[in-house]
Amino acid sequence: MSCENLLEVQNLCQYFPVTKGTFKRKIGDVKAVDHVSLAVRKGETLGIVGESGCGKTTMGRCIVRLNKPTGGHICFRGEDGELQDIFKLNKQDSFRLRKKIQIVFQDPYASLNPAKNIFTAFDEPLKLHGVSSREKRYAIASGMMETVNLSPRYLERYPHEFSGGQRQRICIAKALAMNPELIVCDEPVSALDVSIQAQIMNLMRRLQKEYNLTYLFIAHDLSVVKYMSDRIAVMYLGKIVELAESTEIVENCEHPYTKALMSAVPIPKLGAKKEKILLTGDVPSPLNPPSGCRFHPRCSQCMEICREKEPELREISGRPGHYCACHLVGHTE
Amino acid sequence: MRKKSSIASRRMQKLFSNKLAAVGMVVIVIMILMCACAPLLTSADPSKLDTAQKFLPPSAEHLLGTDQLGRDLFARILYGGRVSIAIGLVSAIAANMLGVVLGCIAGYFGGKADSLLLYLAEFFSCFPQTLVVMIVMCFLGQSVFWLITIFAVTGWMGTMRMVRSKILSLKQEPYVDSCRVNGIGGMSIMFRHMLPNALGVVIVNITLSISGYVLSEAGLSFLGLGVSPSIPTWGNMLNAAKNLTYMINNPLLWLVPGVAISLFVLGCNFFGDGLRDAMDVTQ
Amino acid sequence: MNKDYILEIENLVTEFTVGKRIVHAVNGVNLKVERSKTLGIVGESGCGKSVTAHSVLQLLPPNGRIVSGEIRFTPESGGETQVLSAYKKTSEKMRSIRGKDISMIFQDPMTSLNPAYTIGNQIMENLRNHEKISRADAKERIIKLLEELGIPAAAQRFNEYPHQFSGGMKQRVMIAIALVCNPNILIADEPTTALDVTIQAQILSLMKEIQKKHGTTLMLITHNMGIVAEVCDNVAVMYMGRVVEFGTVEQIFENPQHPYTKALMQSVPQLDLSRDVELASIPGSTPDASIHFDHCEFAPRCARACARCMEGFPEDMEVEPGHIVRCKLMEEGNVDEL
Repeated sequence: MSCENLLEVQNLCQYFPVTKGTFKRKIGDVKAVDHVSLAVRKGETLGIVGESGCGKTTMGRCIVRLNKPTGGHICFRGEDGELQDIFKLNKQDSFRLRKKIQIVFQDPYASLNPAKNIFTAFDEPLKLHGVSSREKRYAIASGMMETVNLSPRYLERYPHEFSGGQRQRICIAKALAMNPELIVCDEPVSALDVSIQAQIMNLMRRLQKEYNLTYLFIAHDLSVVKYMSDRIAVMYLGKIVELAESTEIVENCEHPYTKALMSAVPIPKLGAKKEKILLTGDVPSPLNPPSGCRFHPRCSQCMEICREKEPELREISGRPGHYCACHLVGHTE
Repeated sequence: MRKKSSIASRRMQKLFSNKLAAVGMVVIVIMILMCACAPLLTSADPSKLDTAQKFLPPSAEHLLGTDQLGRDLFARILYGGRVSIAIGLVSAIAANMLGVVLGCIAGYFGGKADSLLLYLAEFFSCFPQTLVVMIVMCFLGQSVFWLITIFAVTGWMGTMRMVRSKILSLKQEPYVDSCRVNGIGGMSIMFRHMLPNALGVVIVNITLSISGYVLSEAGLSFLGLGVSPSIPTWGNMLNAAKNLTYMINNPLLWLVPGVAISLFVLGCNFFGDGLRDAMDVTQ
Repeated sequence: MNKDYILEIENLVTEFTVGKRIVHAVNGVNLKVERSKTLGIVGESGCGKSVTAHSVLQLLPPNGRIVSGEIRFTPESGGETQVLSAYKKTSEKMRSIRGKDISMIFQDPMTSLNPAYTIGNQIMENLRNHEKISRADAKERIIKLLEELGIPAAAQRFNEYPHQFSGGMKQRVMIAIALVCNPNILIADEPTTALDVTIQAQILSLMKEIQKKHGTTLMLITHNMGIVAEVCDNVAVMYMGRVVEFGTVEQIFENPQHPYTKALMQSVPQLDLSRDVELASIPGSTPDASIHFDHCEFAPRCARACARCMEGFPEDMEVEPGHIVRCKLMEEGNVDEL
């Protein structure tokens, strides 16, 4: 596997202004994503895990350019092999890049237009991106349907005739039809039943090998992310708190939040009942994040420095590739 | 296209299982057909005066008798219906079209455009329709065209608000996001992807507002503010019958147009209500 | 050994009329709930696990009804048995049981509370509905309960509105409403599905604590096998409106017999699962509940189905004491090695 970065996110910030009253007076910012940097390597799956409101979905939406970030850069390696800031491209390049980065959404029931048949969902983007003959577009769509184990005959049907799992297959096929390099998967299996979840995850992994895809896999279920990803980034309140190889995260996590998250995952096995680290309280509001380390009010090992100074995400000494943002952990200088 | 019909046919089934809606539709269709085929149903001229034949009772020659100027009532109700229904239909479609376009713009673009259109809607809502009609009639004279224009211009606000809120909620749908990810333009998303999902409410609204405009026309014409009295409409017929002697001695003069208006309006409302239930996908 | 059952459900059939179709959501369910233990009901969406629970309290929508079967409730050990299924939906008797003897908490704490009333009011309403108690005494008792449920500054929060509470706190309030009358049975319908994992862990440990303290019987409805393994004593696995396997948590997890249970267990990714292993998945999807089968409902998706599975329904077989499996393969004495 090449270690070339396909996507680099640098200091990404997305603030949503909060206004009050008739005159829309701004009273503050919800810092959904706050100075996040990470890189996605070509051909890998980078998992993003975190609880609701941690900013993982917002980040995914920035990468597919559904949101315009407040600050920072998102760079994508184009055909010429150069990393380009996707928000600074000219109109034509910007449009061409759209098909390279696709997204699969969480809710398969709402991801397809109920008033249009399945073929239309494939047809329009293909037409827009230069496949001019209808026969050719139909052939691509049929091929994709077969790839995700659905009959091409279904193209004439309407979304309400499919089950959740089938719809999610269609959404994946639709994203795949554009021949993308990166697919942002925003909780693609969390709305599905367990047995269907397994089908979709197996399918996604098979497609990754066949089409040499890169995934950014966003989910809240740590075991699902672990199974899908090469590397995992853990987010808390708009920040990445830990990033490492997935086995490293599961076996040797360092950040107290990751540890708590890990111990909270119920394990479907008897005798696995390990000591749980129960966090007290709730996730604070991103409107008013705590000073210093954002996790300190809930952290059992909180020190004086944690209240004052925000820890940086740095590589842990002696563990290449394992990054952690915590004052407790010794970093490589 | 087999499956498209399956949604449509399910809705149809639901619509016709509602007895009142089916009756309403039959009433409207019969009335519209009769008005449209007026020359086939009667040979009388609705405007031909013949003072020698005034106040005739119903007979084979004059099915519903004649009025105070000797005009055939049956012919007048049919030809009058043409104008009344046309005014209702065209006004309803025009007002709703205006409402849909403005509602889409307000809902999809939001921000300044949204607030501006909302203020505009409030502004238009505070004019009494009758006042506007009176002013326009003063300056431009009575005409069907101006009446429809006024109805459309003063009637789009409800539809606009409805479409706006529908579009606002549709904007959150992932399928709209997925269009945007692929770089599909705003206009295309708005009118080709979102509008079909909002169309149900608009169709229902059109049906219900037809009856409203038919009533408005009748009311304004009754006051002498609507269509010029030389053109037969249901409202003008009522206007012609507003005289105590006629009301007592010749009840057919006001009963016939009155019943026609009531039947049509009732039919529209029943059908519209049925349509609303059938379009409701949540059930 | 004669076990002490607080609730017994026998051959429960609940159906819904949807348009002209009749959907058998629950199709002959047998369940026995042991006193002061936790019964987990697992299954995928549409398997009838929620409807079973709602049937117990007869909290069914107007188009749903209990067709046959018996639900027996024994509030006191060795005491009198009431037949809940004999009561009318809206009867005084049924209403006095709901919220008092058997109470229920729902999946979505965000929408289960009325935003127009303070949470104190909402808890008090349930309490004063069932018990003659003065407002002051009620308030005192509720504040004590809220404190016990881990809500800080309970006296102050008593007067706050639901929007001032976070998701986890709202679920605690829901639990408070359910527990305020000291119910014998607490039915929790996916109580943590809408919550984050760390909050889920808090709520689950809280429910366990309550059970230990008050001896409340818990009926936990979930789709998460992990929760079942950690919290439950007995497990019922449901598929298409029937219980396909029932046993103690050890029996189900260490020695699952029904092919559906096995497949369900293997299709959940676990933290220690290697990425090289492909997940086992069940082919196809759950059939429409309005389809009527004349054979085992799982057979079309079952990897081990044979011709016999297509002939008639399987019977409940007790493969070991207390471990019941509903599968044709078991009838041949084809029990997998323990």
